[in-house]
Amino acid sequence: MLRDRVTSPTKTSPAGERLEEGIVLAVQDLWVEYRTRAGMMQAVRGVTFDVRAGESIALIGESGSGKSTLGLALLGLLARTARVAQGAARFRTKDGDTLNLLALHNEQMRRFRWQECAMVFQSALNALNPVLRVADHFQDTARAHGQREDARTRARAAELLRMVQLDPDRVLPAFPHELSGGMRQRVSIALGLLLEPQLLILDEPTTALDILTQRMIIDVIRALRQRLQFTMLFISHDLSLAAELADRVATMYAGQIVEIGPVREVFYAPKHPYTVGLLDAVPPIAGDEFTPLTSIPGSPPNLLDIPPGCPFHPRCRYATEICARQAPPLERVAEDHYTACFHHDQVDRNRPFAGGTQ
Amino acid sequence: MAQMATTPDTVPASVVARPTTSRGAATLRLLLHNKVGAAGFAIFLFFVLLAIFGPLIVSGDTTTNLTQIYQAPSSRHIFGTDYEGRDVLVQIVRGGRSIMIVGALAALLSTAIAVTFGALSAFIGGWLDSLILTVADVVLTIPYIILLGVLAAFIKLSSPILLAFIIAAVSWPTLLRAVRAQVLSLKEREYIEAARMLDLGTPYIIFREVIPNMMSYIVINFVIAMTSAIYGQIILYFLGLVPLAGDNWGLMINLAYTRGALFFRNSLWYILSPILAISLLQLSLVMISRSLEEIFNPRLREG
Amino acid sequence: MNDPLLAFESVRREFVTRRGRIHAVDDISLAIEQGEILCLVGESGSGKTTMARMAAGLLRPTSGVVRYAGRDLSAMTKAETKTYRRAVQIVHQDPYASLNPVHTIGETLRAPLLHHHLVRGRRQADDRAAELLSQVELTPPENFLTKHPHQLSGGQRQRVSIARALALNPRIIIADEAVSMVDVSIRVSLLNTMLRLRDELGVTFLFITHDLAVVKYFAWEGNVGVMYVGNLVEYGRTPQVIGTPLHPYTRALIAAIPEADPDMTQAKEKLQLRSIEIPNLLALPTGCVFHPRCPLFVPGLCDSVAPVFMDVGEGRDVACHVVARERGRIAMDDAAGCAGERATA
Repeated sequence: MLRDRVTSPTKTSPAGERLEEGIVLAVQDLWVEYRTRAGMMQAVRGVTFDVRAGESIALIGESGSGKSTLGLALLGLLARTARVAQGAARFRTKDGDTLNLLALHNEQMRRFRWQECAMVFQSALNALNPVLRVADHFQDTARAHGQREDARTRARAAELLRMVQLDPDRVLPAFPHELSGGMRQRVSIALGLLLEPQLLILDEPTTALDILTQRMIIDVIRALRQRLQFTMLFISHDLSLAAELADRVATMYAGQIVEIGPVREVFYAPKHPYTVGLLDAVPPIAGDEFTPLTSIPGSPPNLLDIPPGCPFHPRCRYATEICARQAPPLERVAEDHYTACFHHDQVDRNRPFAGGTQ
Repeated sequence: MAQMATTPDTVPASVVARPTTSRGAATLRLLLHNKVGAAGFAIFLFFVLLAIFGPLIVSGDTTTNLTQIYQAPSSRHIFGTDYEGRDVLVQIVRGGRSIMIVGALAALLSTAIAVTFGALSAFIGGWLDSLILTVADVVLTIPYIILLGVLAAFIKLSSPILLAFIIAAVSWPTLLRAVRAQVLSLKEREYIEAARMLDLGTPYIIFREVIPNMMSYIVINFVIAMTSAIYGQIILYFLGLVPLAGDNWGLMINLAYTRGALFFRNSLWYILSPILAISLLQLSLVMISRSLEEIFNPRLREG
Repeated sequence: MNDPLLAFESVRREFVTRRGRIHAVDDISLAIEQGEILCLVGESGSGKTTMARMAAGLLRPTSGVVRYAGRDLSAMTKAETKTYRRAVQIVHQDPYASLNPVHTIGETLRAPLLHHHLVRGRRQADDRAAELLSQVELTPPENFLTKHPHQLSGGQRQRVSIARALALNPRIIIADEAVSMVDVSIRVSLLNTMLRLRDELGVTFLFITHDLAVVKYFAWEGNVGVMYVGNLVEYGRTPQVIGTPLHPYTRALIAAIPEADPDMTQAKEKLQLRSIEIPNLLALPTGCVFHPRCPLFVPGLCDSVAPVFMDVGEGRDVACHVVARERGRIAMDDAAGCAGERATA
């Protein structure tokens, strides 16, 4: 049976893949590396994907997957020891221009950040300046982007805060440390939306939050998206977050996207062993049935010394000789669903992942 | 606490570990790699070698020769002569040894006191902590020089070792407070709590668990203590509070000053050379400590 | 008569801070039997960590008694304290902070063995250390003995922590969020290792966590206690508490957790709480601490009288007026009456 062998699920691939019109962000073969004392560490290794207008796409991966580095690279926030080794990231602005994100100079980057694309960071504690009141955060951001009408900013800020279920009169005059973790996270989200960016990137939005607070943030994000219709890219290690909020999911391993597809496809018919492994490691909570869990044998890869071939093969039950020699490209396995595995037709969600011990 | 971010599970084996070399050797290598550290180390090494081998190379003719007092530098006396006609260079070469030995000894003693009692104070707390802190405060509030002088007056300084003791006795409080603060923070670390759960005993925990984690801090403070011990000696010598004889830069400054070397143009080197020697030695120590700081605190490093 | 291995009797713990008093644990009674698994689950501020630290003897209760094997911890003789110290061990949350970075794994494991004379000499200590490492599935052990913690992954470090906890042959291991900072794919194997140790060595586990998935997996054959702001609100066998939660807080928690299943999670009925405000630990609500948020709130009762933690039948314990009434334990006016003496200010 003929399969489409495309290397990347982007707009450059044969037509018919896309469900929505317009691409907001197109990443092509991105490689990011870090300089360490022991050599160059490849954090992102050839990532290619699109973010389509209006969609919510999740990048799911554990530590060492490169997901956070990818987010930082897109916004020009990489540490000095990191650099983009190759690849492209293009962004379509509100005016229709195409920006080359990796080659923006300071002024362009400043305009890009907040106005076109905003990022909400993991630890809202660190993202907010402890010596500034919340109102000042909004004012500063607005002014830095040329909006000097303070009254308008204040009105907009109040509106956004109400949308995230915060009382503006209470929150605007407060300092960050006077707010709880959940409140700070919501302030960060509101701040991100201040200048009406097209794309909102959230890095681990619910990590370090309590269960009930987490639920509130999820509901808030969902409501915001419905109302404001922005495009969202969120990065997390938590698969269930993707189940809640994502239209499409990409799982990352060792700096690569190993599977990408519509959320129900990835959850109900995953075609990569790592995705299956992740799903098998998380039980459904509700209900009084016991679900046996399995863990993925082996350890996460040492990014300084990634084995040749498929990076997941040392831990994979389906691995054969070819997996150790050749790195599998992303292949189309269903409508808009791609996976990087030579044996994807054997991969079956209902067969639990082998192992259970390290 | 709610869901925490997961930590990198990647084995960063090769990033930091070179399991075959000891930490000391690794530190030394890093020190030499750093320009400032290498320079400091070189200068310090020069002085050490000078102290050991100098007197053998530069033949000492220190007999008084009253016809040669305050001679200007010449081919025969490179730094000129002093108030008794003795060659200055010879004295410079010889003068470092006792300063450095006493300095090192005093630093070692004060560091040992500060570390032991600072750690005990932090760990045991309670009345012991209050007592030690009070004593430290008392010693701190008395002016250093006065205290030194008083001690020197009371204790018969029959040897440089006693001098080292006196200086150590006066300089431990600052370091003790710093060590105590460090231990207080380390005390709450989880591996310390685990050690307590394993009932390993307070002495073991302090000396085998806590202090090894502070070695970098202690080493840096040792180097700094050495600089202050050297200054302490110089002050004592300069003020004439130390009745020790022998060649010694501090003594040279004292003699130069009291014998009026300042007023002779030719004898400039007599007073300048010990000052320069001391300054250079101190500078080397400061350079070493600064680059050690950079090594132990990676955030200070450039890119 | 067999005393429970560990027991809390009306234990209270307060912390006095500059800003006021925090009631971290408010009148909790609980018992753990030998060989049992108990999970204490709650969000931040619930007091579960405080309970763990009191169980470990690192904190003294402000009032009430903590007992080990029937003996009051604060009234133990020196010999009893020594026994207790060795019988109770902790595995910490943070793999990066739980091992001394300057010691090799071998040194870390040998220290307690040699210090307590469980072995004689270095050779025996190494052998025993290797044995411990094998028990936590770090094989081959020789490879690990000479390594430093930074050379190991997070999951491996946690295993070393467990091995260290086993060194003194403890009777109970307190796992304080022991898998929270480890990748999900590694978590399960760590939990499996601990379950195996419980089966093979009969070690009792007190597992503190905020993650109900961990509770469900690890304590399926054990018990779970749900804590909220210093109070124990529900207790029972895990399948029951998670399958049919009784206390509104437990129900809210289970409903709030996102599931890794798009259809299920979006169809899941969320329990609407009356307020999204989390309680101020310095100024707790009157009566039942959950009442400002509770969907079952009964005005006049829940905000003035604290519910008694009581058996509501079928081995379930709950602290809720409404649930108690529904289960026929008490009539509504009795709830106000008999619980009246215990009303908190």
